Amino acid sequence: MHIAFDPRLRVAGPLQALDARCKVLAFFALVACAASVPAPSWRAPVAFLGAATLLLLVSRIPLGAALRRLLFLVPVVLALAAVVPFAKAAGGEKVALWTGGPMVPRQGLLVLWNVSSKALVGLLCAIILAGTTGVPRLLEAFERLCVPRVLVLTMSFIHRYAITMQEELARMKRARDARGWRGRWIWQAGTLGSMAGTLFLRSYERGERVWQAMLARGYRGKLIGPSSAPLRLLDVMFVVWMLAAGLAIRFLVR
Amino acid sequence: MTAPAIRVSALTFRYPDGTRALDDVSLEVAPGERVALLGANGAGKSTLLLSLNGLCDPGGRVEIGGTPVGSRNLPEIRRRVGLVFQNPDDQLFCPTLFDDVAFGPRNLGLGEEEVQKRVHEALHRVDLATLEEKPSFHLSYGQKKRAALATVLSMQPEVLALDEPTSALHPRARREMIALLRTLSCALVVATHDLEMARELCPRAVVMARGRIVATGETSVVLADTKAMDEAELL
Ligand SMILES: Nc1ncnc2c1ncn2[C@@H]1O[C@H](COP(=O)(O)OP(=O)(O)OP(=O)(O)O)[C@@H](O)[C@H]1O
Ligand SMILES: [Mg+2]
Repeated sequence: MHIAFDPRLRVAGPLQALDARCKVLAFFALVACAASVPAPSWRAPVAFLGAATLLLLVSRIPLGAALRRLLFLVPVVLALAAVVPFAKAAGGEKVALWTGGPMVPRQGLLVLWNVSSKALVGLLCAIILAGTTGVPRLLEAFERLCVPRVLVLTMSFIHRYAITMQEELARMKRARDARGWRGRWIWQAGTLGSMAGTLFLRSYERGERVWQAMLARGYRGKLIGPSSAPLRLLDVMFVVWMLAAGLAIRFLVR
Repeated sequence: MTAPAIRVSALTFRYPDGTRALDDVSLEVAPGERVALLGANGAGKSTLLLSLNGLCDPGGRVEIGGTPVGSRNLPEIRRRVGLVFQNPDDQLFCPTLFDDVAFGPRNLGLGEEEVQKRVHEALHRVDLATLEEKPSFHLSYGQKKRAALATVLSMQPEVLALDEPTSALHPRARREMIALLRTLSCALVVATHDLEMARELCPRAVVMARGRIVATGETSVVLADTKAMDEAELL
């Protein structure tokens, strides 16, 4: 289950205690600084990666869970890497990948490093933010930060249906396996196909009933979290630190 | 004279696929009265309960405490009518049990202190106080049933509509559930197949069959009416 959905994966920690709005702003600041690093630079991305890794350690998010999320990036980076040798650098100087290895344009390597390190920093920050805050508090923070209503609602529905589908799938699997299903034979592929169809319908109908139950308890299109405690100095300082760190790395690391 | 807690008149409802689930149903429940809703599978009990909360749009008229159920006063209706679904998985959807029980009170716009108070009280009443940080989807089925009740108890409704509250409970939990329901002062409509509970909890019973009310009256009398009970396939 996704770390942001599963409270069991959420452990107490210094980042967990911070105000959700401030966390959103702080991580946004850091990612924005990281994303604006100009292409030829390779030291600044290293520094940003270091900062993100440090935050991950501080967050006490289980490393295994975080690493599994990062695997998302592997295909993207590989696809990018595949086109690097063909990058046409203006007056391109070529470097050997390793001594005696193939020659590739230096410019291409820099671009690859730049793009994938930025993506990595972004994803790491997203994982830390979601993992230390949880989806409901995060949505509420977005709402209070005046993110457009439509977006927040869409995200809250994705969240709800994702959980619903996961549960339905678990239930159907259990029902299937309890009746001696063994997914070894190719002619049982039909079972999987019809399960997928049923899963969709069941999740949809359950979603409808959950929606009814929400309406029955006075839901009017706004998820109301616990009214958050007033901002503390620490929350504000966190935003300032993150912004300062981001700017420092961005402009001082050459 | 005060208005009845529930007044339902000439209620008719078809599901989109054409199934006629309610057929000319009329019913009145006084404030604080406890009524058992009996009937075979598919008789229309759950559908009737949905209509009390404005969750299906039937032909006819539903009034809660004198206020007609209509699109304009739904927030008011939903504050006054607590509905507990037959399947607790439909009711529970928040990350933790606490959040689920707090969902209703927060929608009522209560302050966080009051919300906390109500949640603790409701969880305590259904004997789940120790599990409040657990994700609701990791509770056992019987625990989910009780959690589902807590999610509306915390809203302190005037009318409580319960769909099979005792199914899947172990004997002790079932006894405690009945005892708990007896302590509530709100009007209670309980759809159930648990005839023993109906007898113990509800002075009055209403029997449904194929979307219609076929018998109503004092519970012991209704349960002894072999003809009506047979017609409703409850014998
Ligand atoms: N979503 C739906 N779409 C179509 N028909 C439905 C739907 N839900 C219920 N029905 C039909 O409406 C009728 C009444 O259903 P309802 O759920 O009210 O019965 P019930 O008395 O609660 O039964 P049970 O004791 O099994 O819970 C049934 O014939 C049922 O098949
Ligand atoms: Mg039912």
